[in-house]
Amino acid sequence: MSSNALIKGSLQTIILKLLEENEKMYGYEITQKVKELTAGEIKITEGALYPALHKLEAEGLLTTEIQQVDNRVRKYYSLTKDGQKEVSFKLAELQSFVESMQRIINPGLKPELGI
Amino acid sequence: MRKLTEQELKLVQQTMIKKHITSAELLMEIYDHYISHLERFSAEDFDKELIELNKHWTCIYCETLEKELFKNINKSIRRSQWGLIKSFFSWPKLVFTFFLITTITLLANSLEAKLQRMLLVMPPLFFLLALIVFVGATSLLRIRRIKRLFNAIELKIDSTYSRYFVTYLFLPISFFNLGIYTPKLLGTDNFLPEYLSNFSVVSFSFFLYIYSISAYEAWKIKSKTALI
Repeated sequence: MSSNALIKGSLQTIILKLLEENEKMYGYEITQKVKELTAGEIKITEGALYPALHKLEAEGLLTTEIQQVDNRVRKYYSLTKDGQKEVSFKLAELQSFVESMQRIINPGLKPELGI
Repeated sequence: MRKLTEQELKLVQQTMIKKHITSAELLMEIYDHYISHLERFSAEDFDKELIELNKHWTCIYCETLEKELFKNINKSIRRSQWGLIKSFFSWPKLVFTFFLITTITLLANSLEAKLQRMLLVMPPLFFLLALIVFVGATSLLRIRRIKRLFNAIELKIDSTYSRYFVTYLFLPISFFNLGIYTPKLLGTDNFLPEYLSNFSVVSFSFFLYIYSISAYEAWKIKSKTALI
């Protein structure tokens, strides 16, 4: 399982990317989707997920929708227009970070960097 | 995936009550998380999974999450309303804003002082008061439904959105009271010359109109997604 500190740093990007692909999702669904996509390698804890979702909503990047499911309400999150713009920015930022990390970890790997 | 039995649902609800969550929004979100998780397991695994969930969702964790939520909801309401206020100064609302200023100024100049002040300030204040009552009543009805679902009328929860929203609605009313009573208390109510006093009333009423309209617009947006 990946380190929690590593996941925490890219959690917002993970959420935004998932919502870009899935239109709308609820909290538990996000945790399961991440688990499924990474074959259980990355497990998002509730302790990190919900504060991140609430923060993104407060920043105007996510909007919510309440739906009645059986005898309870379910809160769905989806991207706002600002959120859609932010996804590409965050992804580019993460991509650049990963490339920089690769340069440090594998100094011999240079082809993708055009060096 | 299976549906939980009535007994299992009751157990989950009792677990929720023990967490002492006061925010209805958070309570419903955690409740949905619990049920979504438990529905994926067989009845034999129910107890084990419930214990597992409780290990993550401790009372202290819920309290921390709730505090974070309060901050975020407060920020979210402020952001929405400020965004709406800013939009009044952009095309095409700019035309409406100028029309409003002109009408208010004409009214202020053509009426007798006391009457003009009343006419300018009272409508938005009454509108805000009516909105407070409406938001409070709607929220109360929704909270009652949640309490009924949990079979716990004594449950101490309220809508966080509603609480912060009502506080925002009260803000101009408090300023109004402050503006009226402070000079009276200090004996300086006749201190300002009439033209300056009129100007203050016009400015305040302009702020009141913008604030009331934006508050109503913000409520319309938030009421679709929150428990208010």
